[in-house]
Amino acid sequence: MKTQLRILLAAALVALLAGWAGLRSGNAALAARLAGAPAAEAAR
Amino acid sequence: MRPWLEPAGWIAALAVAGGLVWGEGGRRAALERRVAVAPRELYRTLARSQAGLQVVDVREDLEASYGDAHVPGAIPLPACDLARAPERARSRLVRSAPTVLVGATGAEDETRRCAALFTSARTLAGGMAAWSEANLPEDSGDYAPPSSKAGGGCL
Repeated sequence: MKTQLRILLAAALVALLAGWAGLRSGNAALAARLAGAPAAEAAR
Repeated sequence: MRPWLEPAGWIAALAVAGGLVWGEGGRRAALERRVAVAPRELYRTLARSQAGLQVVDVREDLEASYGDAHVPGAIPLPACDLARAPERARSRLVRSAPTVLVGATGAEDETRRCAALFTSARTLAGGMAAWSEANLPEDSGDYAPPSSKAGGGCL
């Protein structure tokens, strides 16, 4: 396999993993907000 | 090393990573459906465009609550019971349309049962009480279907 293709695949893999990590932390924050602050929602 | 092994490894790694992103994306969509809509946010959305969004009023007492004051264009569905909804309102309900459910106080148990009736339903935070408290426009009286799109109405 050519090195350029490897680099491309590795970049795609890193981008996917970074996206997953971002979504995961965002979901955790959203879940915490939903669990703890229904009143804050109403006041917003 | 076999020549197919490396491409297969890359494909497997990308598939696993893609699956993780897909799974978290689905979880995000499910969580976002649980986020209540603030009254002003709903007002802005309704004022900007009527397209697609339906507001469903699920308060128990149709005459006393909906008749007294309701979000303009809201479709009455008392206690999430289709049999209790006025005939004209029943035909306006669209199961697949993005829906905002309006209860009396926005309590989750008020609207939980209704959410199952719609593909995508969120709750108005604080319910009709919060809407009134925010001094947002209200209508009163019986349900009058809009002449244009489903769930629409004029603010």
